[in-house]
Amino acid sequence: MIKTENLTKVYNGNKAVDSLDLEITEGDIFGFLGPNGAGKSTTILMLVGLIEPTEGKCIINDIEVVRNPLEVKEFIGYLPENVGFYGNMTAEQNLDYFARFYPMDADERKKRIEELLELVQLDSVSQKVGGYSRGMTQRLGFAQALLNNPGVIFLDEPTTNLDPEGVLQLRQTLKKLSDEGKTIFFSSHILAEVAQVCNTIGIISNGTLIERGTLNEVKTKLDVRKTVKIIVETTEDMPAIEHENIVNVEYTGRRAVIEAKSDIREDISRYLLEHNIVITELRKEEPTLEDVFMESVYKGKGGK
Amino acid sequence: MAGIFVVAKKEFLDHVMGKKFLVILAILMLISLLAMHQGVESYNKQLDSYKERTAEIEEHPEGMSQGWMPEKPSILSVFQMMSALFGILYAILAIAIGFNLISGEKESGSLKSLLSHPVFRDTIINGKALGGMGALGFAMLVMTLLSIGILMMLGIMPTGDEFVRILVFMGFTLLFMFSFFAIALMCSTIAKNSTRAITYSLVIFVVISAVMPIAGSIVGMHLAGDMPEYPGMARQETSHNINESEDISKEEQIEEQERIQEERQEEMQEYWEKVMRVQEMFSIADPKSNFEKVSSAVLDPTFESFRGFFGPRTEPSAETSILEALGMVWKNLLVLLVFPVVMFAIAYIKFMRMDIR
Repeated sequence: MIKTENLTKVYNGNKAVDSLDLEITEGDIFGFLGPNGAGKSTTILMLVGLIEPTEGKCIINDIEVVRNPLEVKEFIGYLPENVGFYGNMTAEQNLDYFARFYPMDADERKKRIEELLELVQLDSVSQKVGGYSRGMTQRLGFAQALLNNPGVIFLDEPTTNLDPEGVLQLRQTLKKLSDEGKTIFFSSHILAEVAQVCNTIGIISNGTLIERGTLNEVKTKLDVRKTVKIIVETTEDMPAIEHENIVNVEYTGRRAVIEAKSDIREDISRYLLEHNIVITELRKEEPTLEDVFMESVYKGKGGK
Repeated sequence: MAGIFVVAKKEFLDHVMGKKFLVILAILMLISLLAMHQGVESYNKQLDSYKERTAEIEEHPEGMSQGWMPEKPSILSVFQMMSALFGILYAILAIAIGFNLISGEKESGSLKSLLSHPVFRDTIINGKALGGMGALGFAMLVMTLLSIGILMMLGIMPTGDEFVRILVFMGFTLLFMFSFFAIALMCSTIAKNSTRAITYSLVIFVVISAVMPIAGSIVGMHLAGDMPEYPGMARQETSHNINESEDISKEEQIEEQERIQEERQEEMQEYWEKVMRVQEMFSIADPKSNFEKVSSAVLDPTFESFRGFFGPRTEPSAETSILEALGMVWKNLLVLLVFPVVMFAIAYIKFMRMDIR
């Protein structure tokens, strides 16, 4: 549904996006993750036809964006980061203005706008958009992205400025839209958000795609740690545990945190039983996606 | 094509219902009322004086001096006065309308929202230009109706020719406003924000409307060389010479005096023509001076492209048709037409190639 081939954008000699190859299937909620300035917005801007790639191409629903921008725009919806509207107009007037660029008659426009304003809970707001809070503007932005009932929806940092209730509603709506078969491209620098709603993710850093796949696949691929962390808790004070694979152990009373070259939980269990010590907890500590993300993007595998 | 009208309609309504536009239009209308009142008063006085003089001439044609013939005043002189008075205000109105058309949308983020929908960029910029020009046209229409209404209320009915000239003048005023609107639109497209856009617009306005004409005068006077002596001074000198040569008859003395005076006048005329030619070169891109020239041609029924500075006018100038008069200022008219087109073309190209980030 969404495809980029060797997508590159150069600004003043610097590659904001570097040879990006992506493929997102229909109905997927794809999380595009990366720190600020990684190239997420630039990629989206090229995908929605607002900026031209320096090299490569973007294809949406088998249509090349640069060649047929209008055809693509009729099929997509886009919520820009820091979305803006005409402050001298109401939400309804703003949406009606945008809707006039689609083949919709007045009745269709009116009906669609009413539905969308109800969806984003702005139906009872009569004030002009200039007087809106940031959260309200963001909700209106989401409504305008859905104006043409798009097949593909690009959301650039969509939870910015939303309150917790708004975030929850957005997640629910996205799930619903995905169930309807719509493809969603969700860009964010906050992993927790992406993890909540996305089926697949791609991590970008310094304009380069570091990894992509399902959440677990990405976590496994990016986990560069060579050791395993094992937590042990017993009913009595912990005796000193000896094993050839142990790299480091930290004892705190009845608790020990063991860093080992491999998963030695069986050996630890046997050892403690031999010493007649009852185990209350024995587990391997898995790195969270957050840990992997932080380590790979910010400390380690950070693209160029 | 329908998209252009969608954008243009929104822009037009935004302008004519906006405070900025209404305030400037109100100021224009107020000044217009005062100017019309003053102008009409002056016109009435001139008309009374004209009537008295023509009555005197009819009664005693033999007693009138040859050097002065009365010209019938025209109500167009009121508009001529207004064109000089309103030039800057019209330019300000046009700049006020155009300076944030693109930059304002970039700042608010609405341009990104708008362009994410199926609309071509040229539709947006063309629609914006059309909406802005429509708003200026609306302002002009209001001013025209107001002016003609005031004239009629004061019992002055323009003749058919005067009416046509007033309408043509209003058309050129609109063209003049388009020039500054196009400058502002171009700056709005080029500048990163609206503050810079208005700064650039005002700098261009000052440079082409004040700096260049002044520079033109200075350079023109420098290139034209020393200014010839004033004919009055020459007359004294001639009288002195005449007294010395007693053998020359009185008639010859007068002839010699007139000849020298004519020569000096020609020199002076030539000098000022040189200065003006350089001045014109420097202010060729100035919509204000082109507008002033073109409006003079339209509003002065006895317009001459270059009227002599010196020497008495012995008879009223011949009537010039509006087409003849415009033919005399075709260069100014052409520049007045081409200028907004060029500015708009720059804005268009820049907008089409712009990365919307």
